[in-house]
Amino acid sequence: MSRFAEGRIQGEIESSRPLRAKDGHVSVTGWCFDKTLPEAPPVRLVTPVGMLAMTSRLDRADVPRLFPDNPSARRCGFVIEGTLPAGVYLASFEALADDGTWRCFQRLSLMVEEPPFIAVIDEPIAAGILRDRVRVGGWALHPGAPLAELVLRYGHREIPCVSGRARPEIPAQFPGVTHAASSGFESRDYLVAGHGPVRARGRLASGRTVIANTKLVFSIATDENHGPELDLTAPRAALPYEKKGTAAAPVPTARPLNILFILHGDFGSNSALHVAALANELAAAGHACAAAVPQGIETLSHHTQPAFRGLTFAEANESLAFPDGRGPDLIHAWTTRENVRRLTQTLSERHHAKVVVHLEDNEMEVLALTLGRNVSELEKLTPNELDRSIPGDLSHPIRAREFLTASNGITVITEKLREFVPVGHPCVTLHPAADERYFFSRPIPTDFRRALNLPPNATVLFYHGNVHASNAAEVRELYAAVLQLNREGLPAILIRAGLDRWDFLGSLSEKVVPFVLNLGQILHHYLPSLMALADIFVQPGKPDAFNDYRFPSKLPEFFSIGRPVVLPRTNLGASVRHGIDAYVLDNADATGIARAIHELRSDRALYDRLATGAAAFAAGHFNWRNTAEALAKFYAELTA
Amino acid sequence: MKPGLPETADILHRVRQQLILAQVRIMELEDSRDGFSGKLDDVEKLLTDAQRLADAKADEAGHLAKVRDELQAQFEHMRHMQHVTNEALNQTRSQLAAAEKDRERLQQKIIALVDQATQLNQSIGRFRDDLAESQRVGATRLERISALEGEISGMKATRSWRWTRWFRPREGASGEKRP
Repeated sequence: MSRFAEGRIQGEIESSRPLRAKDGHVSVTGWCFDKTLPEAPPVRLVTPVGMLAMTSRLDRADVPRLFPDNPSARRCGFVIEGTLPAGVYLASFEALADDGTWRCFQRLSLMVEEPPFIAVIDEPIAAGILRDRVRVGGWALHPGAPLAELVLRYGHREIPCVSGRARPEIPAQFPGVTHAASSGFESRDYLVAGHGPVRARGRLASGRTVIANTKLVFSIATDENHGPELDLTAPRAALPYEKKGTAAAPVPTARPLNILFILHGDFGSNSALHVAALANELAAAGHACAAAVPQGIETLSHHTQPAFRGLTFAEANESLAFPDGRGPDLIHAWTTRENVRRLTQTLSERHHAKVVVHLEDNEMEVLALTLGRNVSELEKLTPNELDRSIPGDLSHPIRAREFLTASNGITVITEKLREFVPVGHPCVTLHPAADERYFFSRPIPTDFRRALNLPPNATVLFYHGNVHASNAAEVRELYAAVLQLNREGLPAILIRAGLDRWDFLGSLSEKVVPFVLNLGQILHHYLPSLMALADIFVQPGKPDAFNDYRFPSKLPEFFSIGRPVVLPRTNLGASVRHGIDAYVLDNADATGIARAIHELRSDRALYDRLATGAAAFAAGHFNWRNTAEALAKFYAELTA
Repeated sequence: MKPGLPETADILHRVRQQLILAQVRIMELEDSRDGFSGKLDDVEKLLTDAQRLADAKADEAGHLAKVRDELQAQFEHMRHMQHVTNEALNQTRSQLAAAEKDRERLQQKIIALVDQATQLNQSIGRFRDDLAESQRVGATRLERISALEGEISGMKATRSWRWTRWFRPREGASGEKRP
């Protein structure tokens, strides 16, 4: 116990320290007496923003024991209560001396918090559960400032309110708050379907949002847009969204380069996933990277924390400067598509940049499939006919070859694509991977599957990616397999993500509808949580002129989630081990897929082995860091 | 018999229901975020105030430290001066002691001189008395001499030169010139 005073005055502040005025309300207790006076003196709290007088006097049994010779110690306890503006102050505790002067007996810092926003609904009821579609009203007050806007939130609903209504009885509770008299509000409309505790959400004139809980729960079961089939009171089943930390930074490059990637589609395309992963890794190593897209620059938001600059073709053509003020040292043309080729040639001439061309498809086959003509037909077309037939987002058979020949180097996604590399041309294979921040082994979210009412024996398949001319036929086989499985008594459902840019189902459409849950396009980093719902991943297809040269970007993602992967014996399927890494089919058509799924569902050991094998294969083969290092080495050799 | 799949319409309802419930959670989290954001603003403001107060106190502490340093410097100076003064004082004390000794010695001398002077004064007094006596005797004798010489003059004037001739050498002995 400390003693203060100028000799005569003894006192102590006993409220816990540091002194805090929660919600703006000051409440301080202590004791103080004057040795020379028969009664304890009045006490007050003085701050630079105001003074609070003692609000009550208390008997103290303990203080007289310490000061037995002082009769005023018996009733020397005090309480000081009141409100002060928010802030941190040096507070002086003063006692009134017998000469009429106030003497400070203790100084302490005092933190006064902002007073809270308060909202009360009292019309039609003030507490409990409201189930009727009515208008509601009450009052809402922030003592610091009037509300500019007020809404009520409950469940998934937000109801706007008319605020500023007169409530003449409220100011009595908040003396000094002038706007308290107009703190009333009423909902603009009748309540709509939604369930949950009601919160008032206000916006002050300063733009600040304030939120207050009320004592009410709104539980409106139905409305015009919500039928009885939706139980809004059902428990939520969480679909875990997990993300791993970023890997340690790579070894910094000794010779940073300015690298421009030119893509044929926007940042939402599969190609962009590869470019983004490589550019991020190269940037982490110290290179300056930019990526140009023909349109859809806003799709850069599909990528979390891109470490490269995104720009449109027009921007790249108009002004292309890297952080060091120079142009690109190297342009990596992502495919030989016409729009890419044209911009690459323009910019490489302007900036004297090296050119590397990336091959990820059998471009002639893609062209033929997209135009609906076979390759031999295309080869017979004259240059003029080709010019007229080929759109900007496809490769020109002649110009693509010239482009490859004129390039300084070529990168390929599969070894098979080296067939298109001119003899003696520098070439490196870039092995794709999955973004390991998001794609890793995940358990099946059983709660969520239960919430969907999926029976335990149901087989959930998941396929993401767009359907286009090149893969339409094989995706149709996957849909047909799902239909077949259900017809054969094995409940199976296909969860689809992505866009259908091709009418590929035809007569199958009606029949397969009950077994396909189409979620539409979903941001890539949200996919793994949904993919975790799957029991098995299937890459449909068969060895052919299209599949043999490609590397479906979904495959590393399938493997990374840690489920059995069924895939055809082509591209990656040609190098994985059947029964260990994956389930490999000579032809992943409907029949083959259905057979594989039957086997996997009936052989638990095989299922578990392939689930483990998939994750192990992913860990051992898919790594963007390794691929980026190989690419950086290739760049260094070309620019040396 | 294995349980069959629910209709995808039902699954879609359930997905929609879960999406709504997710939306509920999102809105709850939004409110939590905005509530915390506001509180964070308040705390930031309080922190700013606290920092401002701490800065003011730091300024005061700095000022006090400066004052203390100045006082310390003054103290050091004073201590030095005290040392110097002490040294001077000691020296002065030594000098004073020596002077005291001189004074005592001189005092003794003075006392001796005073004694001596007293004795001399006494001697002087005696001499003065002796002198006065001698002067008185001398005066008496001068008066007698004068009287005798008067008598002689009378006698010479009244007696014959032959009769006073034996007086005449005495006139030379008494210093008087003979007219």
